[in-house]
Amino acid sequence: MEVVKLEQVSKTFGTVKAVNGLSLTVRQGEIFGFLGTNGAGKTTTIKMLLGFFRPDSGRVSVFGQSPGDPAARRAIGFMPETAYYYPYLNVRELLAFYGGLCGMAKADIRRRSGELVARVGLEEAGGRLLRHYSKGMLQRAGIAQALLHDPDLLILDEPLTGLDPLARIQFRDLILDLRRQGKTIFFSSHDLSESELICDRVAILKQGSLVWCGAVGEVAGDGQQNLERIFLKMLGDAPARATAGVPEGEDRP
Amino acid sequence: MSGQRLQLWLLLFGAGLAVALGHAIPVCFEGRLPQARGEDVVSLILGDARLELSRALGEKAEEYFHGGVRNVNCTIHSDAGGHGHEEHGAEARGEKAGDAQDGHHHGEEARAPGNVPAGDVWQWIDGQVHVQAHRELEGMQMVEVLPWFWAACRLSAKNTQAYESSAYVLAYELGKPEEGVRLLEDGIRKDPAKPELDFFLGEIYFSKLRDMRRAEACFVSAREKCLVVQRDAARAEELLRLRLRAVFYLGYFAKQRGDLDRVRLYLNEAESLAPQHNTVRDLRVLLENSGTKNQ
Amino acid sequence: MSPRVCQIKALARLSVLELYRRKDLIVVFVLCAVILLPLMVFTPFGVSGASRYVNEMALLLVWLFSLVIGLGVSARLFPPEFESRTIYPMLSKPVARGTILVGKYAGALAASVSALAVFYVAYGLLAGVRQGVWFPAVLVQAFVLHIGFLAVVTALGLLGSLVLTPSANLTMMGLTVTGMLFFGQRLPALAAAQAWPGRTVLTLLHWFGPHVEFFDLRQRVVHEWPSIGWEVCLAVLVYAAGYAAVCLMLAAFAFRNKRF
Repeated sequence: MEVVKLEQVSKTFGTVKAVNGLSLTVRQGEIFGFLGTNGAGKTTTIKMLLGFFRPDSGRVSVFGQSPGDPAARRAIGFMPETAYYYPYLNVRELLAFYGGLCGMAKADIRRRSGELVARVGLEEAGGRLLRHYSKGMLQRAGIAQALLHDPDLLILDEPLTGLDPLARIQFRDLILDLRRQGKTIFFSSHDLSESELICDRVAILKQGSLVWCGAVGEVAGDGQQNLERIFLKMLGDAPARATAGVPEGEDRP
Repeated sequence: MSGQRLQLWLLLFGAGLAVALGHAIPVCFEGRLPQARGEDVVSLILGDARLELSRALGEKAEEYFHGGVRNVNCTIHSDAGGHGHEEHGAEARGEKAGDAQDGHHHGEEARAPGNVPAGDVWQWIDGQVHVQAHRELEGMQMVEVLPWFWAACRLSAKNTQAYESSAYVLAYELGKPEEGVRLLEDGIRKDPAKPELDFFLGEIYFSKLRDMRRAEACFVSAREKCLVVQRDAARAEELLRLRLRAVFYLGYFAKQRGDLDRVRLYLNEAESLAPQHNTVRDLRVLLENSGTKNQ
Repeated sequence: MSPRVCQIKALARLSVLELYRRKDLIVVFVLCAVILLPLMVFTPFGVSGASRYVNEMALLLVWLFSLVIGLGVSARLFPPEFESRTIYPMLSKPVARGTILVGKYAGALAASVSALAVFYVAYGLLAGVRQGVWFPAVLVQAFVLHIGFLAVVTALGLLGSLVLTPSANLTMMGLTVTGMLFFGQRLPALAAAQAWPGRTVLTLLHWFGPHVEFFDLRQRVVHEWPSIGWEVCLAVLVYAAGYAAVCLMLAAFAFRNKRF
């Protein structure tokens, strides 16, 4: 089943073409990586997936519906790139707030909050106000609010930002666990190694256009290439000066 | 010590230091600090605005007098200014006190809301919400105007009306003439050039405290100050009336002592200033009642 | 309870929690006490018994601080959400923009009215102890109309928060409200005294400006005038509801077209 479908989607802001004729699909139960340099159009695409604004042309559908419809967003959980939340709430109140927005019953909110706060490792800091949280702790709170209403599709924008190595491993385990539960995960990232480890398929964006989309397994299967080389090749960048002189196909010493 | 606690201690220390310096510097440098002659900090900051602010506070007191309604035609001051002379002029003419004209306009107890143009629903609502009629404070209720008059007097000693109205309320409405005397004496000390305060002080001594000696001294002072400031063209008519009223009182006192020559002198003075004024008539009546005609 | 009502409640609760946790209210109460306590023991010219001036100062402070709180809370409804990007996780939830707007407005109004209630209860107790009259009808009416005032001010602040920067919003709305409080009654007279275009501007202001002076019953409370007819009170509240609704509709239009 196609969970996310973009058909020839374009969006222009003034004279800048942020997204240019983008077409891709995300199937149910897969972890889809959305890669590209800064300004490639990743966040703009995500905003269109969430219905923040309409594309200038093309069609965006999530679970077969327009994302502008609030009902369509019932099955979406979103974690933004910048983890700022309401400084005068604690994490439980934050989850209660988002749970209320999702129309959840109080008992369900209490149960899910308890589970998620423990799952993301914020139990001890549960009573503290969010303005006293570190960046990593806010990122975990963000993951918790995205998962609160048990969505079928998770859209994560730079989810690894601010996480320490242990937290990254825990995050990876969480994502893989969600996939096992049948969830679909769509995330954008700059971390190619992590993406290569957990994604089923990746798409690479350059200046608003899709330049490559394929299964990570296809990449890994070719002994000559890894995701980083594909990424650099697609973006048209020469290898860095540190690797100059190393013949293509050979790894750096 | 945490950063926040340190900041709090520093703040307290800074505040304490400022207070200590504020007390210590005037004591340590007494007589050596630059002074603005006859002025205080409020005057230095506000300048001429001080008198305007004082007048605004006086208007606020008037508003209180009229139950919170502004721009009503009668004031406490108009009543204060006309009260004594009218009463004692009547007494001098052998009429009962109380037949004297009352400064208040009690005729308009409830005035209908002003004309509201047809169709202007906003003005209709405003007319319903905000009081259109006015009523006046009476007797002990007049204490409500005192705070505003107090502030007006403190802000500017040049606001004569505030001093007069305050003294009127204290002496005539609240039964505290001593407080009225104290206030007027303070006003005279701060602004000795104004004859109005001397005159009003004299009226309180005369009508409330029955201290004729002090009353006469005040009226003499008021008359002399009128002579000094009579060159002020803007206030010429006002000062003329004040002087005539003072002259009447002085004539009255002279008559009480039996000094009819003095009464004639005051009559001549009044006639030379304003032959048609009530004072001339009243002084003539004083002389006539003593059985001697003016020749 | 319908999902929409739950959503509005969740949004409203956010504003109320923020107001009370920021502790601004405590500062306001302390400031009021610091200003009013000396006035209560003050005896002008050594004569005690004056109470109306204390009542007037107290009500002036109530109005001043309610305006500050009402505008301050409503002006902060959306700009921090846009700056810190918390608008994104909010909009990603299954909630319509209109519901967000209504919920934010309800929260700002609830926060302001709750603070106002504390002020009025304190005033009523103070007046009762000093003058022996406990919560007269005119004071209750003044409180009800004051809620109408906050309804209009909060709606204006919310509209401003979507189209202006916070400081511009506070300045403009503050000047507008204060100006109408002082001069709203006199606009027709001022307009009649002007030539074109001043007359037109003032006339338009008279018809379309927020007549917040309709909600001001301080004169009646302080000087112990009787309360206004309840039909007039109702008319004023209908005006408040209508004006707030118009502001909210404009705000909804602005929010729908807002790019962030």
